[in-house]
Amino acid sequence: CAQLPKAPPADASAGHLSGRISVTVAGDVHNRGTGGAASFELFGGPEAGRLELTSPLGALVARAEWRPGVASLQTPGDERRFDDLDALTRELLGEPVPVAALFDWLRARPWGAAPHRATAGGFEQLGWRIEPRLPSLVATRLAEPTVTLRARLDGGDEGTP
Amino acid sequence: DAVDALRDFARDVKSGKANFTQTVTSPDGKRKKVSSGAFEFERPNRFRFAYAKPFEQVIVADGTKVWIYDADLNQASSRKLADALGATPAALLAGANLERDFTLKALATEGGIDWVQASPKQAESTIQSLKLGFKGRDLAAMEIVDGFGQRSRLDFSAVQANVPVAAERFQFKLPAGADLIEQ
Repeated sequence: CAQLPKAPPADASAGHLSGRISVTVAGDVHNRGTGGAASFELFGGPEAGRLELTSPLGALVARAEWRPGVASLQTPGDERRFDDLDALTRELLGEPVPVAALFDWLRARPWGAAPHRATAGGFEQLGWRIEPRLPSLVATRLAEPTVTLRARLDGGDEGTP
Repeated sequence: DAVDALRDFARDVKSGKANFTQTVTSPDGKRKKVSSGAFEFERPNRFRFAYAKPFEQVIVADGTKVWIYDADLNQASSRKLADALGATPAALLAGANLERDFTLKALATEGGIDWVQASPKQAESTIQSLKLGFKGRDLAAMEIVDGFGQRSRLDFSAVQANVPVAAERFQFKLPAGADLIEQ
């Protein structure tokens, strides 16, 4: 498969977030809940960036890279292209998760590119309820099936290089 | 050489305990993440990796399933052992039949450790290379390079071979209120 032409280095100024993340898609009477957990590293920003997911024993299980107009998902032995990040995350997690907004949610603030509403525990945006308790975060998609995203940022030195 | 050490280990060491330090190096070599904890195993196919630092996480294989639990996220996932273990590093340590699953080749001694390369016989795109290191007959280290070139090295210390391990160490009890994902 064609290698993604070497992407320009993700916009390093937007910084680098790392920690652990779990996504749970609630089951219903017909099927069990799905999802998973992994360590993550998030580079760049909504426009151009990279997300790497690593298993507990240290194996890199997925790498997503995106630039305007193209998003690619590499898994061991496979690379697939998508039109945008939403299509990619729908493939990766079974449900679209607004990765572009994550850059801000993980910093306990709404994403600037979409309206939001403050709530007692945090804020609501893009149909999600976000409750930041840094270094932890819980984001719940309000529409069925409920999707719960939990993140825990690495603290101290090993978080940012 | 290390191939004999590994064969002896696979044949003679039925159970064991050790402390481990895990260093994961990103494919570009620029980022390292260090974690540590305790490892216990009993053949066949039962092991526990209990990470204590920098965060609490446990991987338990009870002989039929592999459970992973993250305390901060309060979420557990379970997977059938067959698809989880396969040709993974854990199979090398606690698997039932070493020579059925892996081709062994002695490598050069390095840093006082005799290394043996274990190539999974079952085509395994997730692993580029897998090797175990011995100091004499004692298990010293394991190194996995995955399909992306990410390197995960476990260094073992305080290794106790053939010590009895309580059966409940290989059972996973879902903590109250935790999410469970069955994959």
